[in-house]
Amino acid sequence: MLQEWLTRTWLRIKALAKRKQHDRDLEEELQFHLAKREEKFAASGSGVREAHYAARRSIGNANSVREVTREMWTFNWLEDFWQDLRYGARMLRKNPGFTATAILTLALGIGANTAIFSVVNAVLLRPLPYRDSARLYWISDFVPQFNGTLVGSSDFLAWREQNTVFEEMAAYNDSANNLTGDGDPERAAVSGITANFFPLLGVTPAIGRDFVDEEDRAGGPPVAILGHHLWELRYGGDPRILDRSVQVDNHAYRVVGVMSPDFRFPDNDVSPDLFVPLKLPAKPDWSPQTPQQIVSVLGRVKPGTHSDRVLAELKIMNRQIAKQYPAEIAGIASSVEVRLVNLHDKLAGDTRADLLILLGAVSLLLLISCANVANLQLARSSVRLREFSVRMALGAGKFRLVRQLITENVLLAVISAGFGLFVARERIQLFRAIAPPGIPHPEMVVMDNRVLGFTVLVAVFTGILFGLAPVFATFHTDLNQPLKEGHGSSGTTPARVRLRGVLMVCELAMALMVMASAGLLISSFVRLMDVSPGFDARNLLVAQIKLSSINYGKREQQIAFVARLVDAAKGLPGVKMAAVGNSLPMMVYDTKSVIRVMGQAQAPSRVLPMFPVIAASADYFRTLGIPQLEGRAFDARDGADAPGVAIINRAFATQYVGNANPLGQSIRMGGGPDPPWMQIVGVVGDERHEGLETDAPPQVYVPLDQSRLQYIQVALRTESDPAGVASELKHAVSQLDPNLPVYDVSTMEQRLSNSMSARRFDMLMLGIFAAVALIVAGIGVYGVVSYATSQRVHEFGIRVALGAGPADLVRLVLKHGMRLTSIGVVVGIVGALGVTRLLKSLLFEIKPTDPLTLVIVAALLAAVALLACYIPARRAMRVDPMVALRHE
Amino acid sequence: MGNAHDKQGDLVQGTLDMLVLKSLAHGPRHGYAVAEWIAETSSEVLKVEEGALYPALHRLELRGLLASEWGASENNRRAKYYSLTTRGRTALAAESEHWRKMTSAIARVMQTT
Repeated sequence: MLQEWLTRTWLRIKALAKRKQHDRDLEEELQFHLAKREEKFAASGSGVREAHYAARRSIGNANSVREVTREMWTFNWLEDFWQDLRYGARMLRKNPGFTATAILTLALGIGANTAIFSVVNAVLLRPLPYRDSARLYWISDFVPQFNGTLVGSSDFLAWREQNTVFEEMAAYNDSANNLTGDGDPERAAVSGITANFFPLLGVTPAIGRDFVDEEDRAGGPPVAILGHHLWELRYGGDPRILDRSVQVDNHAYRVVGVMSPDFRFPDNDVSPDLFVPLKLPAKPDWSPQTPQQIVSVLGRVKPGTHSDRVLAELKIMNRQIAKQYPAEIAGIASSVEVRLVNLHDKLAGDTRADLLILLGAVSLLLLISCANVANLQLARSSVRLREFSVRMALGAGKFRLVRQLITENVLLAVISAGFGLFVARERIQLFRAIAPPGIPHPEMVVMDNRVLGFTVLVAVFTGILFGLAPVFATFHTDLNQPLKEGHGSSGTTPARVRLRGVLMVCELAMALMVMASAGLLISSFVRLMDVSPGFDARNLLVAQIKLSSINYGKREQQIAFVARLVDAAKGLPGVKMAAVGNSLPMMVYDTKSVIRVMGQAQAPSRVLPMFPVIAASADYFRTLGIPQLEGRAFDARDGADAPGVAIINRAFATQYVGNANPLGQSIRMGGGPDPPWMQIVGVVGDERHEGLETDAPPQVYVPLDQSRLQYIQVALRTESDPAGVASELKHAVSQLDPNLPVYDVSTMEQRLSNSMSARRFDMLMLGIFAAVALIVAGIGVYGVVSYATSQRVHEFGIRVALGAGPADLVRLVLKHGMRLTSIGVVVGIVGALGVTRLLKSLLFEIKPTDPLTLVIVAALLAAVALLACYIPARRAMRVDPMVALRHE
Repeated sequence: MGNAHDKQGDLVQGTLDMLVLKSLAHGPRHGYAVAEWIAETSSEVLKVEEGALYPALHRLELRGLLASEWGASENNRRAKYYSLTTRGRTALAAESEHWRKMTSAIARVMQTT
């Protein structure tokens, strides 16, 4: 059977390829037969003419023979399809106005879908660039006191030693370090990794080798692997980089390898320039005098092991580990919850919800486009009804006509998808330009085969979807009617008019839903911009410096450097004030600690809250513009050997000191045996340190000179545009110490803006989609109303003849359009109330049902719809009764 | 062949296919010769409609039972010659056997009084 089928198919393909030849052969074969037959009749004594006709009679309907035989050789459906396609293309060419509108509308819709899908594909769907990445997990301990996750190195070592569920476990950490030697000092992100880290991921350095176990233990040789970016930028891609030494925080490391350019570090918050062995001890050790390194942990579970089992085992191990903790932190240990997250989910992170919302918005946009094109098609199909009637009268089957319509529409959609790909390419460029930091590696967002496949699917789907509307309308009408009517306004059946109205209402409703969502995000953003951060972000330049331990290990060295730094910074032209702290607003806290207020009973709960503690120099509050509410700021009295003092913010005062006057009270930090008491000397205003969206947490400030420093942040209050001072600050620091890089130099306004980039991204995207939805819906309204108007020219003519003025006609048209619009707006508001709840996590100080936003977008949509109705209404106004009546 | 009322001359498709195969058992023929051979051999009892013959020839060719080739006819006109393929021969043998069994069975049934 199969062989026979193959033969048949092969012969058919051959016949298809040489169709003309094949047709001629068949013709010749039949002609030959006729000739022979004629000969025979002639031989039996008939006349030549008689023989000719006898022969023709004998063969019967020669055409039918040809047809039947020919059909055998062809792929019928394929030929029909080809025919439909060519016919469809001809119809599209014949109506350039319709075709252009439809293609524009669809290209916008499909393009937006392709663009967002390519992001979804890159972030959520594509497998990670690691071996068998589905089995990779990120493991951590959630510590409620920090409201954060961390893993102590001993816990990791214990897990690795005892577990039965992981094939392998690896750890890494990250730090910012100073890279010196070879030119200007530079800040480098360094990641310490265990020797099995790269093997766990299934990646290898592109040049040189990976770390070996001997290098990853205490006392092992100092070696490093360069990231590709650093290698190219700082070392010019030198292929002889191996065995050269690089200076990291004044320690020499020998380069043993360079990573490949497409290596992606499996943590969005870390993008190391350089890798060094982590050098953890061989055995876990929880004794109080051994400091624990904070690490992050990845594990590869054994094949076929369910994550529930892994989690259960981790919990059991943690219970064992908690028993070994020193008494002081046993409380913390018992409150820790282990977290197990698939690496893919971890990397997709918070972007998932945002992307799904955007995907929802573009789906609505596509549906609007579909409704629009369906409407255009409906208008056209009533014109084409005659064509269909004729074709049916000539024997075309219903099915064949449906197929014709669908083919035509899919063709239209596929052409639009082609243009849509261009739209998508532009969108992707835009996306890369404004991608928020939450979306890792925007350069990974590309149009691959999966994206193209998605686009084709969307195109075919939409083609069928809006193709069904005219099909439905066409076969709901009596196809004989147009033939009887002759020319004229055929096919305006009530069903058709109703369908067009329904489509328009849907379009408006969906547009309103997208617009309401965008409106909510925009008002959230505006509200956020209005939030006072609690400090003055204008004319403020900020920068970071790391005091590398070798030159600044002692506190006196740190104090001396900071003093010289502040002096030098103050002396720069255009600088009014300068301050240094270990954390500035919009940056992570350097230190968090348990704080106790003297005289207050220690809370019996085992879970002691931790508070951010900021080391601040004398002019810290004045420079940042944080108001001093009570008492004093730090000053020269608060030197290293002076009695300990502290300043608290208002949130701390109200929440933890209560009604009593905070000045003069004492607090102390740390959970150690007997930390020194510090007297509260001042209260300052709250500042939104972690971003504008979160209220200022209770904060404690301590004098810079009484703290240990490593990472310091500099703030300069300038007279005018602070960006100009950046290079001078760098120069000033290099004068103080040529080996100290100044990094993350930016204006505070820039940092504020960066902290809102994810929100801005969502707002911009939804805003663009809403604008497109509004335009497309406007086109839709225009199409429906202007078509309806053109159908009523006759009626208008009569009305004018009976004395109706232009204003009456305008009112008639507007009434029709605005009735549909108001239905659409009402349906849209109901829909929006349902949809905007999904946005809740993206909103700031605004309810998803905010009435003002809904009213504004509804008014905007209605205004556009009114405009779209008004243009055809103006046309109706100019109706000449004579022309209109003759129109019939 | 015009004689549409002659019911006995009408051939069902399966039978026609078998006859066409049989007609080619002794070498290639063109379509006209196939029709003539069947008519002559059956003493003009079986008349093959051209309207059925050519579709049958092409169908058999598509099924791979026949091969075709253009050649010169008796009076040097170009004609399409059909011949049996190996699969065609096998099919003919099977059909003949089947036919023999059928006719003898029918004959036995008809002989009973």
